[in-house]
Amino acid sequence: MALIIYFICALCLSGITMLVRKKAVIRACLLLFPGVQTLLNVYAFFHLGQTELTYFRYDHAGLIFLTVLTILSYTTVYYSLIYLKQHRDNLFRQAIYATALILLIVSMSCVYIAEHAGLLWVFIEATTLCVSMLIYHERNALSIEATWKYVFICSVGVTFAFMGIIFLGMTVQKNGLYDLNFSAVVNHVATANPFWLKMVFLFILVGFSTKMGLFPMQTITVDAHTVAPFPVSAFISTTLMNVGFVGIYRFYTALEHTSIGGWMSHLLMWSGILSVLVAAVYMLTATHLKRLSAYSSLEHMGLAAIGLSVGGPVLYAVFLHLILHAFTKAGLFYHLGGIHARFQTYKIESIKNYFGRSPSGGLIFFILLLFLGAVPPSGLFVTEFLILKGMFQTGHIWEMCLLILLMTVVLFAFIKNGLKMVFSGDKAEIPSQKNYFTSELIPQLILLAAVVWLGFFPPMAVVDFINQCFM
Amino acid sequence: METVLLTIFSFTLLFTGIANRLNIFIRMLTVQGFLLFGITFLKLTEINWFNLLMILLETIIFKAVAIPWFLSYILNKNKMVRETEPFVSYFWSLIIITGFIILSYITAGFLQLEKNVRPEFMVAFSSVLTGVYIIISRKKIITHVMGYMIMENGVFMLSLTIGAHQPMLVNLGILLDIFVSVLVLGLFINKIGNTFEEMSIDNLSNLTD
Repeated sequence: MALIIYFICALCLSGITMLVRKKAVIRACLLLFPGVQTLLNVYAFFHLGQTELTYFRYDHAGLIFLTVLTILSYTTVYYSLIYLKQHRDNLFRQAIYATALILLIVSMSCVYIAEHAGLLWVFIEATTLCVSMLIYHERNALSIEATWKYVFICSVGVTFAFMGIIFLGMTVQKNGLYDLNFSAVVNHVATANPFWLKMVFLFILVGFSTKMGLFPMQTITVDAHTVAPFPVSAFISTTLMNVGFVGIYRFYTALEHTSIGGWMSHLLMWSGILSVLVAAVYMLTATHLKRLSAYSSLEHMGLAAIGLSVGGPVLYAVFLHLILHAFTKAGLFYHLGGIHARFQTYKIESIKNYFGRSPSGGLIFFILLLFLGAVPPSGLFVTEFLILKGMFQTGHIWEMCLLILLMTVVLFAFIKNGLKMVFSGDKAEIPSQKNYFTSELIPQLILLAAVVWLGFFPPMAVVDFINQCFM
Repeated sequence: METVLLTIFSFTLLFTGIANRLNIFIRMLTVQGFLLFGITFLKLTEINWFNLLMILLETIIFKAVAIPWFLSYILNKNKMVRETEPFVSYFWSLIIITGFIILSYITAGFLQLEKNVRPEFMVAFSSVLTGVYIIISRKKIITHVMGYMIMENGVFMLSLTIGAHQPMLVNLGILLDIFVSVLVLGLFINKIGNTFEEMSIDNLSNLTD
């Protein structure tokens, strides 16, 4: 019942935005929507573990990601309003932006709480369609290229995932089950032909890797994050990659206790390591700030895949890693928007003496880069440490050494570029810019504080909640 | 009868491998649409008549008529006639697509399917692989879309095997077809045609490191 009200509210808000294209109405609808999203989140907390409309279920894992989505939807809407004011597009484009953003948040929420494999797939396809409108917002030649590649390859990937779901349907049909809810599937796959299960997982992994941005399919997400408007980049490089993770996670846990469990974990481990390798290599030679951040997302998703493959108590670290990465990366992309407004460019070599120009901005930017490289006050240090410790305990020593080497390379790339941009260069080379308004920087500071708090002093309620996902 | 339809379907796949003129792809998509209509009619005998009627109508209207018409409209609007020189020559394309059909036969053996389902699985899987191969080996964007359509036909045939008990999944597959191909790809091809002179992927290589 609540979900139907949620859908109706979202459709009303987006419909009003499209039909009544006045500036005040667009802003009002955008500001109202996070409130609706919060109501859904609170409702889901009170109905933990219950099924809704047969095909949705408010379980712990989905609720963690839903909460992250709700928090980030507030900041994204806030920075979207700043972006729309800076860019002064015509009202039609602003209306499309607002509508697509609202529908994107709705589709992502539904993916997190979907219980039926087919319905999960439908909403992931819906996110692809909504995101394409957002990536295309600036409508120049590079946007067309990135949008075309994103839509086409995501569609091919989603078709592969559909094949995986069909194979899963064929597998459980042999045992007499005609229902594709995950809780029902888990009990019926133990005796299936292992080759079938391998086909299922392989197609699902390839398909949802286009969304999550893991190794063979990372090119489209990197391009998309580079050309999208900065609030959208912040959103899609965090919550949309979590959507891909949830897709892979649901199938992984459904098939975990069959005979192919070891094979799946091996596949995920190497997919993750290759993702981190590609990210490290490209980050060393990056010249565009948003591309640098996009490759950093690739690295963190690779780490999440490695953690998922190790399994066991490391899963706590994986979930916490995804939460903290979402906050930090969103903060970084919001800050990049501010840098672009002041320097008019994203090229690393053109940005010099940021600290001299704007001390608050330079300091926060450097702290964001350090936090993403997992330097200790950052909670990401805790989660990466736990993942590496898990790898050591399960005997993946060589992989752990390789991973430590690659993460050092990534940190070096961040610090090299960060120091160049923030501290070097002559003040007179750049025309003067205005300093930051405090209001632009406060959400980023709050996100940074949350990262430190959840990493080092997490409240027991949060720890217990995350641990209950895999009891 | 079903085996005859499946064999003709494999012939259309081989024919797309050597096609140079773009309207051949569209004709093959129309033929495949009608063949799928026949296969659906023969295969889905266990679901109630209403679901069967819906699926049949969707197959005929969208796969055989609407989507090929829409693609030929785009071809005429942008005055495209021929595909440019592909990455892999037509001779090797033909051999590779034959290899895909053999590969799907071997895969059907590994999966230990029942004998009556094997030809259908074989043709469906080889159709998916052929679609992906056409996307990889051709240069024009519109050919990529047609390769995607061929892949979709293969996925549709795969979904028929569980369509008896879950007709919703079959409907979902066709809906995907319609939404993605018509709404998004068609619209974007128009935008690409307005921005770039020639719609080949050589023009879409500016986003690099």
